[in-house]
Amino acid sequence: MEIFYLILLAAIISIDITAYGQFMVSRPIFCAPLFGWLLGDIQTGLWVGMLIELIWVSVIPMGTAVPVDATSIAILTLIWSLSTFPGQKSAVITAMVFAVPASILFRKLDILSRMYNVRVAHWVEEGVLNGEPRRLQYSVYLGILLFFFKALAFYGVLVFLGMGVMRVVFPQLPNAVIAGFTTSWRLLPVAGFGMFLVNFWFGKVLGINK
Amino acid sequence: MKIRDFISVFLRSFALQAVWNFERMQNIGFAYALLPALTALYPDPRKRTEALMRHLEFFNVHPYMVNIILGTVIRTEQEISSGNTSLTETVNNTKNAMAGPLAAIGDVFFWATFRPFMVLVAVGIMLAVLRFNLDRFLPLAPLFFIVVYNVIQIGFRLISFLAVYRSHEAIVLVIQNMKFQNMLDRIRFLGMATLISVMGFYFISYSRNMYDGTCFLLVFMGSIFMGSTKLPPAVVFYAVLLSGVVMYMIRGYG
Repeated sequence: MEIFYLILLAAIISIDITAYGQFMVSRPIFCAPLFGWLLGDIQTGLWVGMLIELIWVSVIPMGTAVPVDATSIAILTLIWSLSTFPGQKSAVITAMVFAVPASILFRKLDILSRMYNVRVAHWVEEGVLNGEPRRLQYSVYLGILLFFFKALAFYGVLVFLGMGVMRVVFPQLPNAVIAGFTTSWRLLPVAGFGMFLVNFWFGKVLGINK
Repeated sequence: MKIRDFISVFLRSFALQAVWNFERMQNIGFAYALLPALTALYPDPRKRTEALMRHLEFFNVHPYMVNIILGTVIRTEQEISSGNTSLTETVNNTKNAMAGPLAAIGDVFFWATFRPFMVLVAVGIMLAVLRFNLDRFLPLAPLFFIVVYNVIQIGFRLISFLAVYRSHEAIVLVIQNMKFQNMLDRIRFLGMATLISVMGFYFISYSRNMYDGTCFLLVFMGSIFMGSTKLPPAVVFYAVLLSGVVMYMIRGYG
């Protein structure tokens, strides 16, 4: 039952990414510790949030670009690892290995919903022309709901699928990989610092369509 | 217009991207935010429809910068509603001419500089809390990030909205007075200083011997190289995992 609440929370938080507010509650630095805390391990949540923020620091939404979704990487990583193999750093890294490609699916769904919004926009324009400005209001509610249900469907499917994959794949991993992933736990922030330095020093914004 | 109309426009501006679409981007969100102002300015539904249609054209800006444009547009619409109809032709051109530069300022300032800087400060707090086992303060870093970031961004949105509305003629001056470039330079400088401190703290706290230090240095240099050559962050992530496995196999580092 707890997983269902987490999926619901993930979908609510996802509204913040684009549809309403951009208050940054969807950023990994905030939502990862939140999910870590709800799953009983806030320290892992903090670490995962830090890793994702540092490494994906340069990926930002500019113009029409829809960037990779860092929120889903954080949330899926934590739910998949802490609900299957809690307390194991290598399990967290394994979950992240699968969460990174999963976030591309979230991005694809985002693009689809933005394409659907073209039809909504036409419907609104038609309504406004015919003296029905209320369609503006309805479309905004619909837009927010669309973002919510898109995220709900995404997490609803991916959370259970990923938990199943974790239960099968993680125990099969060779010892060298498990130990290597544990090593990476402390190496990843270092790589994040390097990415950060590139972002600040060179003033580059790398991340469109990555 | 009453104060409640301004409050309503301001609150609605948070939904700017609710119907973001590939054809006209934020046009619906912008018209939705503007609606309370247009309802107050145009009691005649026909004129209100005309005004709304003007603002359903293509529109795209950084979400935190929209309030500057809303302030200008409300002021212009006020003039149009009081008889200066010559502005109906120019309001959209002015709006879109402002949107491009403001979007660029917003992207560089908020997305590429201010937010990463706030993240870095939060990371510094988090590492200190974890290193010194201050378990009671574990939520401090994310709470610090979310509170300080939002006080500044919401404050900016509100102040810029009211400042631009009050001094419509001098919008360029208002933007100039915000001194984005100066702030950008200062935040970048502070960011670099914070990064060096946080990194130094991490290296001292988490490297246990010479081999650790060498591994850290190699990964750090490698990530700078990969970041500079515009490799996607996901590639950097997988490359570090691979190096972790290789480093373990070389010397059992774990």
